[in-house]
Amino acid sequence: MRRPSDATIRRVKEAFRIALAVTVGMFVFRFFEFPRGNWIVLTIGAIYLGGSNHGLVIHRANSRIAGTFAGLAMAFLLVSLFLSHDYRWGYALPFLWFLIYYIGAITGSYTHTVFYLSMCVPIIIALMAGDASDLNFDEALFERFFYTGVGASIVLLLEVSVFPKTTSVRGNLQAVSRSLFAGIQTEVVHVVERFAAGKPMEGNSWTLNAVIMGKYGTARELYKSMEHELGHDVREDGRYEKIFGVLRQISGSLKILAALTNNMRGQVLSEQDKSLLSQTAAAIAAAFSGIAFEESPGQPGTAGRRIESLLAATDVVQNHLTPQLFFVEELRLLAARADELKAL
Amino acid sequence: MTAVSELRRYWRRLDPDQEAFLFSLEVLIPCLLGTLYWLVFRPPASILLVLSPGFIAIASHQRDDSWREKAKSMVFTAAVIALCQSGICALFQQKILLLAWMFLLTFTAFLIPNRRYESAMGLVFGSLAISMESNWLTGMNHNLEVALSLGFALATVWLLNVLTLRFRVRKALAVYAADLLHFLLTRLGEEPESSFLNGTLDDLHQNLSALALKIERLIAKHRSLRPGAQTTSERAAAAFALLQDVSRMIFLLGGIPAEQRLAALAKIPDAKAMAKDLRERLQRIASSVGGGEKLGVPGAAAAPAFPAGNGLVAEKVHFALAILLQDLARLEDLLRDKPLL
Repeated sequence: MRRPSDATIRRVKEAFRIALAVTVGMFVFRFFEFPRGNWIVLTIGAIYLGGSNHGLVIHRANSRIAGTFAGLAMAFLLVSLFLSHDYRWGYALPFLWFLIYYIGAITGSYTHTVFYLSMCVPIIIALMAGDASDLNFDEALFERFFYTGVGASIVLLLEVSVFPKTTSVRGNLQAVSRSLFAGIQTEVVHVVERFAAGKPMEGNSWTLNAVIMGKYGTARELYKSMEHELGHDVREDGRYEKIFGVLRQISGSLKILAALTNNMRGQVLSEQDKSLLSQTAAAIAAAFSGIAFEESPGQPGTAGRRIESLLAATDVVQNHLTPQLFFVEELRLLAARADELKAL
Repeated sequence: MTAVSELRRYWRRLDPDQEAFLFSLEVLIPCLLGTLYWLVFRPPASILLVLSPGFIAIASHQRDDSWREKAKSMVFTAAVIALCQSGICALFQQKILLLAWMFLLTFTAFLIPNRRYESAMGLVFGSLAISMESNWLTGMNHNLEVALSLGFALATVWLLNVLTLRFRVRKALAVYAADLLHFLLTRLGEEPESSFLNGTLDDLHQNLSALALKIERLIAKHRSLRPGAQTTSERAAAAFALLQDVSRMIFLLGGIPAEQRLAALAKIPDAKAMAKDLRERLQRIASSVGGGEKLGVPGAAAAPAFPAGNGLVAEKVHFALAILLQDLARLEDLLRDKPLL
């Protein structure tokens, strides 16, 4: 029988943990008969909206508590100052929803979204309830904070006690890094092939670079969220900025190579140059294949040294032919960046 | 640069191409439809009908690739909400069965690949509806509301997608061109490389990539939704390809260390005139694309020759400037006689 893949095992364990969190939340609600205890389950679901990576979940749970507290405090202040009951305030709900969603979308901050949500929803409920209702506004605010705290605590407890290693952000980061470097290898080989053949890049070739940048962004977010596993802010150790700085330069180099390939002014390379460039591309791609996020730092690479002799033998370098020479220079830089990344 | 234009740039960075605003409209309109239904028919329920169409519409924002994917997301979310609400309402008094139902439902929903966001969304909204008076009848009522909300959300998202498509393509291309202009000016030393309001070049690099992918999807959608407008789709695709070439050439300039680049610019006699020409052309293009207007007759774009022997870096900078001028002139040709879309 085939063993399920790591990704499947990870998904099953994550689903189990989330299901357990929801069940515990429901248990607390039903067995203690809390009147508005469904907010516990709601909080748990809302925290998992942002993904189920260990680091991301912890960050989101903390943001939820902080945003809720600040929002409720503001709601208390506003209602104490300006409260006037009228059920027609309910018509404002869709606009409120629009505003909260828009602020969340443009700031990208979960704390901001929770702040506005926690501030506005109780205010609207209080305004709609009317003087005759049995709603005690201060009590409702306190309850909301209490239930948010209970929901977030359940998530945090289960995050550190149920399958904490399997669902670590490290696994996802490794997968994204492998895919990122595979994309870089493919693009290097492809652009050199087109250059050697004297053909411009295909119309949609830029998408590969855009996808690489998308993975770069994902890897960056995941790497940042490792702070909750490692216990310190990874951005402070210097390595973080260096790694992502080099990755940006690599993405830039790939764009530059494509730009040069598209503007060769009809000059044709000799067969020897074509062969040497193909070997260079293979050497650079091999250097990238050895980098994917390893458990221990890699050894300094030798891609730069390996391609130096290949490139020096080309007619382009020997006869100082521009703009082809710019292409060769960029390949040198790319190899140096692969080595730099490996050393990090 | 005035404070107002700095703020506009900051706003544009927060909501480039106004996609967030349009997405928020996709939440607002179904909610308004729910409110309208609530006002006219006065159903027994409540606040839920006002909010649930918005919840369902939000689920589609995770997948902006195609209408079919969006619809699948919304249906999946509505199904999780309905299962959650009806299960909870029917089993509310049977505590053990209720817990078993919640565990099974959550576990199954989160086990389905690539549906994590929709599952969580369904769970959040499903649990919102519970109250101590819940019973199977309230569950049925809630499910009717979910079905109605799904209809509102599907109709709104589809209509907005079709109606705003041309605007979105134009806006995205204009933002792309404006970002390129800023990128170019920083590379020519005419604007600071990074400031609080402009964001870092790293942000810009990522934004350009994300925006490029979005533009490609929008143009593909335009092609499929408006088969009668193939020519305009092709023109948009051609303009986008040229802008891609421009962005690559700016990267070529940016790949040269700043000190060497500025020294090389000082060596090129016509560098200032070329930079001015580039800026004006890119500004005209951004405004023409965004406003849907045609361009006037563009000026000649021949770059003055630059003799060899001034150093490799200076030759590289001159080469990049000359190609940029040539690409922008081709883009102007494309926009000369009629608007882009």
